[in-house]
Amino acid sequence: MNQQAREKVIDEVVIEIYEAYPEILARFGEAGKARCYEDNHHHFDHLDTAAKLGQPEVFSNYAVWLTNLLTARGMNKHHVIDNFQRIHDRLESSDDPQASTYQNILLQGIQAIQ
Amino acid sequence: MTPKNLALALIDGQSNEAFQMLETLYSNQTTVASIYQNYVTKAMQEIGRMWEEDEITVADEHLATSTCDFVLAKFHSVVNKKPLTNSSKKAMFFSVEKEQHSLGMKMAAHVFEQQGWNVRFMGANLPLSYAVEAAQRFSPDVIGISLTIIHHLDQLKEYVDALESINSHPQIIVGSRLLSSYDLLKYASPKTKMVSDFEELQTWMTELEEVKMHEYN
Repeated sequence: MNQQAREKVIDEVVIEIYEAYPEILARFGEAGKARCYEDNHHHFDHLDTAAKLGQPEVFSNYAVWLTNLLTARGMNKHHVIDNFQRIHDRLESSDDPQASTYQNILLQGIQAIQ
Repeated sequence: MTPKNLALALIDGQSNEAFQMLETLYSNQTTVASIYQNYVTKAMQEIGRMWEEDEITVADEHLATSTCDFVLAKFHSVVNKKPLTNSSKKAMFFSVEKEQHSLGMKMAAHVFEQQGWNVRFMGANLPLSYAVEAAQRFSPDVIGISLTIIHHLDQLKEYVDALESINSHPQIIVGSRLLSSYDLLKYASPKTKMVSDFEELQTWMTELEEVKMHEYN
């Protein structure tokens, strides 16, 4: 997926997350928002690799690993699922040729941690 | 001594204590390949698990890795090595471009060196063009390629194809923690040897040497 399409989706997803959960801005400040952008780029790095290799399990394995990492730090797996679902939904209106491939990979990732 | 004891010493930056643990195992006739596999690798896996479970910080993990690196070098310096001769076989080791992990590859290089091979360890993050040029100059019998991060996997085929076709026609071996989750052969060639265990590597080297001796006789 090209950089412009990736950044458009990430910008939209981060805005949505902060609208849906305004308390995280109060709790973690602007540094938390920067981290949220960074995390979403990690999600896309794994989507890119899973698509490039034709192996959706690359993303599913990452999803499971990430969920274990975050739940050990007091977060809930539903935050991860919520984030992935928002990327999936935003890709619906993306005209990038790989958008639907990424959506399928995301659904498999969500399934792996549900 | 357990891998957990070693992990705790490394996390605490206790290089002398960690070195003593390895040396004691070695004095008690544990093979170096077994020490690398069943203690050092397991300790590093335990450290990874502890970071994932939020039991240690990123700084602790970095200290453990750099301490391990130092301890391995010190341990390698005291381990018996077969002497180099003019007919010693040659091996070179490196990680693919952008790959920063090198501990596993370092242990593999040590195993070869201890067996009397002429070894060149070229470290992490070696771009393909430099790897090919170095291999053409050195003419190795074996080239060990390491990769740890899945994002670097798509480069592997290009490295294997380019390096297998140099004049010395080296045997390519690939070491990676990804081997436990993925079939890496499709990113290599049918001739490529995948190595996920130092004891298995040691056995393979011995067999290789026996085959070569048989060919020379």
